[in-house]
Amino acid sequence: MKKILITPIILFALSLVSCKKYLEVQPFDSVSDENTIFDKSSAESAVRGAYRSLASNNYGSAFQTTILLSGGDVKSLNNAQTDLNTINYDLRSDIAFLSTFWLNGYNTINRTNHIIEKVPLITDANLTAALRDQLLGEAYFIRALSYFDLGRLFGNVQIFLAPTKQVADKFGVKQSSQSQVYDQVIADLNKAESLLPATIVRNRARKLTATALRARVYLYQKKYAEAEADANTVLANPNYKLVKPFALAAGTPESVLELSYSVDAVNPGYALWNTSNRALEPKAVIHNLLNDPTVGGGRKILSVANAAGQFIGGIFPTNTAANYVIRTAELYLVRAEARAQKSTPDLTGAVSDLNEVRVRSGLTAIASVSNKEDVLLLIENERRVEFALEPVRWFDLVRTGRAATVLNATNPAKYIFPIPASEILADPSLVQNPGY
Amino acid sequence: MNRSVYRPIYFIGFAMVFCLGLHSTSFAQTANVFLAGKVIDEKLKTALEGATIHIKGTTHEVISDKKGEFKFITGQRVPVVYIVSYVGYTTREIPVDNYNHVEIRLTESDAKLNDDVVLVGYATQNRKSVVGAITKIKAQETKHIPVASFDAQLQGKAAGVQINTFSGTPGESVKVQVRGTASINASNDPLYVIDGVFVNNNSLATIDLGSKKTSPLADINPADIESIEVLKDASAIAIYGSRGANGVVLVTTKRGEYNSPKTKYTLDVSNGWQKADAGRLWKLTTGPEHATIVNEQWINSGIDRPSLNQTYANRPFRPVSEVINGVPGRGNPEDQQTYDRLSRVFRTAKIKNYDFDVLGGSEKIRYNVGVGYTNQEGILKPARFERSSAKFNFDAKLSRKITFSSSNGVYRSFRQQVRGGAGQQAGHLLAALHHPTYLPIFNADGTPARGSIYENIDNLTNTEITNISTKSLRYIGNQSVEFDIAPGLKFKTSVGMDYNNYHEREFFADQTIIGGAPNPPGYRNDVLTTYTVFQNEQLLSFTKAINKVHNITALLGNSIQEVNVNIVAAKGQGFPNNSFQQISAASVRTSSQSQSKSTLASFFGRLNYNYDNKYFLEASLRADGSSKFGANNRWGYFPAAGFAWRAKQESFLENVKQISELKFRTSVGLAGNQNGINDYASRGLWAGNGQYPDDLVNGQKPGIAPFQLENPNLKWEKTTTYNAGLDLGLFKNRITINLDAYYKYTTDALLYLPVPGSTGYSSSLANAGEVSNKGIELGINSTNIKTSSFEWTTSFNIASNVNRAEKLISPITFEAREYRRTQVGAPLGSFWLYKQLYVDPKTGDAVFDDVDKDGKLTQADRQLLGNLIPKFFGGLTNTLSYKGFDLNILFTYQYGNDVYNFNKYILEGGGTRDASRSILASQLSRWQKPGDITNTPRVTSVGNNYNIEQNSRYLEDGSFVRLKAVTLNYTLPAKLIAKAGLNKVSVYLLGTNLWIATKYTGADPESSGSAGQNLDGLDTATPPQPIGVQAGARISF
Repeated sequence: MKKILITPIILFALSLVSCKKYLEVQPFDSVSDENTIFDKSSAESAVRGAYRSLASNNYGSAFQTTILLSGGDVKSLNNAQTDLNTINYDLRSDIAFLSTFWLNGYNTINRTNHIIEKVPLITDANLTAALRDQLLGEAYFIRALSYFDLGRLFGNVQIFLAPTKQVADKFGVKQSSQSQVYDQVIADLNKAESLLPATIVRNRARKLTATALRARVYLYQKKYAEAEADANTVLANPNYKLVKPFALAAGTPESVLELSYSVDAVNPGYALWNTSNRALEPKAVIHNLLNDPTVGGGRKILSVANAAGQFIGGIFPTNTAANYVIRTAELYLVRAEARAQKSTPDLTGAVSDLNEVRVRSGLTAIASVSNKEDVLLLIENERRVEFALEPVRWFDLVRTGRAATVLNATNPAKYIFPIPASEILADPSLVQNPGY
Repeated sequence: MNRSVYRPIYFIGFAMVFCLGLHSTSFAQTANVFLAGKVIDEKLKTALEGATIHIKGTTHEVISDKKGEFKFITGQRVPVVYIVSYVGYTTREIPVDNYNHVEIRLTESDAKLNDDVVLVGYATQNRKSVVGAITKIKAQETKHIPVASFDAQLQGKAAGVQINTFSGTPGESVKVQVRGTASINASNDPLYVIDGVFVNNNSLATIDLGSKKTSPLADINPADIESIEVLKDASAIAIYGSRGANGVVLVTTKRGEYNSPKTKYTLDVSNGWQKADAGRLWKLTTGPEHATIVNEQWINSGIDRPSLNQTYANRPFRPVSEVINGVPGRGNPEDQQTYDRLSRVFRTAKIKNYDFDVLGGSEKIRYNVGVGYTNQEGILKPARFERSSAKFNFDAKLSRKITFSSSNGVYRSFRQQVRGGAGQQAGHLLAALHHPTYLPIFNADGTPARGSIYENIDNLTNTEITNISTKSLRYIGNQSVEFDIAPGLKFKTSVGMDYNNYHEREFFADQTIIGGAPNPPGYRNDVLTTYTVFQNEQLLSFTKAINKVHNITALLGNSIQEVNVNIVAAKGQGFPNNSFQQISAASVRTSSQSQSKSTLASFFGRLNYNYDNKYFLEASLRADGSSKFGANNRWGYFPAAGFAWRAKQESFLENVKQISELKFRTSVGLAGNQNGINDYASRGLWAGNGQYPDDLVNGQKPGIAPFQLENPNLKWEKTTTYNAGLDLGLFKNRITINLDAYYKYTTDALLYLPVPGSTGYSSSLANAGEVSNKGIELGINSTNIKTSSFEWTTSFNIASNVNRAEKLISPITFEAREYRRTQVGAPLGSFWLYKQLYVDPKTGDAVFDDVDKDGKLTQADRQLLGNLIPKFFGGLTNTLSYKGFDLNILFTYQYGNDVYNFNKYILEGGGTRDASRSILASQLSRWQKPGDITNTPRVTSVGNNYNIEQNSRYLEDGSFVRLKAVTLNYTLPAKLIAKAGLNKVSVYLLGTNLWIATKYTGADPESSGSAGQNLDGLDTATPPQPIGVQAGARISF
């Protein structure tokens, strides 16, 4: 009898002893928060993680679709209800893609904030001072770009410069205005520029990448002299030049910053234009412009009519094609606009920059133009075809105040998107943008 | 003494001496006498050969002969009690007080609803002494209903258990909820325990099935099941601790019988057909109608917003010759053709089912061997579910004190799958239903044509071109040894295992969207998931009766459980041609692997006491430690107590003949829920999936990114349940009534709190909500008519549950479009919509309820306008028996729940979706001219008429009454078959889903596009449950 009873007693006792250890199960495919960024290799990995988010989240398909549809030259083949809201400039705060933009932007920012906080504390001897600066500079650059996009999408957003450790960290912070957000972007870019090496790596941020982005931001801030100066700095470097004929291939001197993809992290824009199952199509108006030898020239490859008379957008040939964030052509056009707009306009310089872009696509150069407004219109139209399938035109027309005239988007309150309703729900201190 | 006790042989000897001694004092031994009788089948009045007749209190037993006759030559004197048993029949105790020939009638055990023995957690109890709310279902009643998994077969059979079949595709998942929805984000599925093994019931599907899931319970052959118990109240579920809160479903498979006179073989064969109810399928506009609506919308939009530059002149459906901007017209509406795709994707599906069962036993062993094969086609091509199963249950009395039991089931399921539900590129039903009818199925050159976003329907239904399939191999087994340590004291130790090997395979040939240009040609994806549950359990039980009135039962146990999941996936693109389907032949190959593990350690105990079978007390406690939870809250404790009073035992009811049973039950207790949450839910985690190159030359390098916020305080969701019940039997139990009322309050609800997106996370798992459920369940069983040849019984159940979110930090919405929302004061996951009041007869514009009266339609105007929870639901079963005929009719019903008709939202889009989606015929009732009274607004892409996704116009009443199953069974006369050496032969006809009454305009009110929690209730391109007819035969020999 004792012998029989002994078995359960032993088993009970054994299980009690081993319980604590038994219940301590470590994850296999992820690491705990504490040991993430602590040496050279983990710091490098974290920075790559931030780029991945920039490439796959920030510039995902919803961002491209919404900005292209808002720009008026591209139409949706899905004809989803939200596409109607977009093209009618009638967004509601509960439309799903808005929170996608918001979340993705801050997700990337949180990644960079972790890097900015933790990389300076690393004591690993393998992490050289130069590499440490480079990694930090890249984080500052990615943060700047993410805030810039949040600022131009939503206008009034919160600025956080420290990583999230608990949810409570983020409650009740007042939103900054769009101009305050742009100021923060400039501050980060200045930091990035000072930290980054002067090498040329086209799919990562380097010193001149920061300068180039700053040129764009200055244009948004209407600081034209500064924009021109930054564009000058980048264009003076022989590694950045226009490639003839017009093509959007990876790794060319055209590329100032491009985002890279692979078979397991595909370019989200590809599916939008993929010929077998397109979601987007260039409208006839832009197709005709691109295919007009006096307007589009070499850029006609962006819209090709197939046998069925459908227009096929030609921006991403494969699902691993690079996605350009900044091109040399943009810097020429930024400088052209800055030159035309600065306090003492340099119209000749502006037209000369414009012609660089035109001639590259096989168009004739424009003779000198004496009227500033005409030059600006020429630049606007050039940007329209040059960036026909890139998410640019909507922001351009809002920035220059021409959206009402060109797009018949007459309510200026709709030039920034509504703060996502779900965000206001999660943090009631957020204030909805006026007009929504 | 010590020596003699632990040597079994001495112990047995002692017991025998003791017994004999006892008998010799009771009965004086004198000359032998004859005791004789006959054993017959109660209903068929046929002789039962091989029944065992045992005289109670003796070792004397005999077996009935061919004519059912038996005879004892014994020294016993009347009165005696016979214990009569026969395989498949309910054992009876018959008191005999004279020496006359007696006729003993046995009833088939599977024909009886309330068996006397009920399985409770870790033990069995006599129904009379059960304190908890437990429903027992005999699997025989439902096992032929062709839905693959046994849980789906239970619809309408158990009060308070809501079961909805999401789609008509066999082997897909089913929604089962016991007593309402207690959890917001953790799973609401009950816990499933099969022969003591805690089995996996989470779908292992990883590939895109159009938001559908597969049911792991479909692996199990319903024919192997003996009975199913659903444990509902605290007193029943608390013993399952941290996993019991959603109810527990205990499944017992068939076992053999000791001393079985002969081995019983049963063969059950059936064949059947199923098809969709054509009258309920969607009606689409014709090509000309579609074109007319699109043109009308085009022109109206142009009027509403001139900058769109949309006029009659440039309308899309204009003569082909009118070329504008290089684009020719699509032809006038009247020139359009109509192409029917639905008839190409639906079919009459065949069902085949074979089960063979062997049951037997000797004095020392008993066994049951069952093999089964099912092949069931889906009505949606090319879906098919095929299952082969083998079941082996074996018990052996190794000695008088040691019994070994083994339960084993080996299952192989094959699923030819479809993406029914969401999923544009390869949605099988989307491509048929949502494809505009004016677009041809074939191009002019005869090749399959595609729409703008859909695959060609013939490419999808041809498994040479699109092949999505899964093979699941599964073993569920439990091995145990039980020791009789001393009278009433038992110890049992067991090892159980549930091994799932789930192999998914997708292939898309190079002419498909997914596998075709400009992608590299061909697409193949292979995923192997292994999911293993390993458990070890010790039970010590003790029973003692003191002075015959104090009955005590105690149970003490512990268990450990480990769940391991490993997923390996490989994908290939770029094949030389369609003949090459091995990933190694692909030019682009990617792979991934992931692994996780969780552990659970538990201690539990239960004490039952009853006084004179009149007053019953039950108390239990379980302690669970789980690796899933935060270091600060790893252990949880779940107590429960119950009390029952059998008033019928009291003297004042003794003479009330009408009342044959009256029992009051009440219980209170705590149970937990940890199901459906991530294995590492409490930790702050970074994931290694953020790869990015360092430059243009050297390709991707690994990257990391944060993906989960830490919550060291994460703990169980806890549900306190109060239950009060009544069991009433009237007129010798001709009518039995079971009534239960309950109140469940869940605290620390596990939920994904919406956190500000500015944190970089979209949500964070926390214990942050409280939910209540209260309800009433009523079950009535009645034998309406009973004569010697005719019997009519009715079984009815109804349940009502009121669900309410009691406390939340902020409202929670689900899915990007936020159709459903949980907020305080309302049922969980209510539909959150803009309310369309009417269509203005003057303008044709939809008028919405402007809740905040600000003149604009903003999110603040959304309202909670209904939910998935029925006001009441249940089932009605009528059984009529006449001689060899049995007719069983089952109705199921549900009242007061809503369904969002998502197909209608997409397909009644006012022509704004142009060539990307078909248009429902109901769109034709649109407003066209002032004075039109309609609910369907003027077609335009401008304004709110068709731009509101969450429009209440598409929310519909999902109430229904369904004739779920009608079975006609005929048992051939025994005389006829005895010549053929057979024991019993019956033939049956089964009709399923023959009739439905519902106001819902979609194909099936139970359909749901997604099987995900909080995402169901939206009916998207889902095949309805089919009408079916099956014919079968069951032969025993």
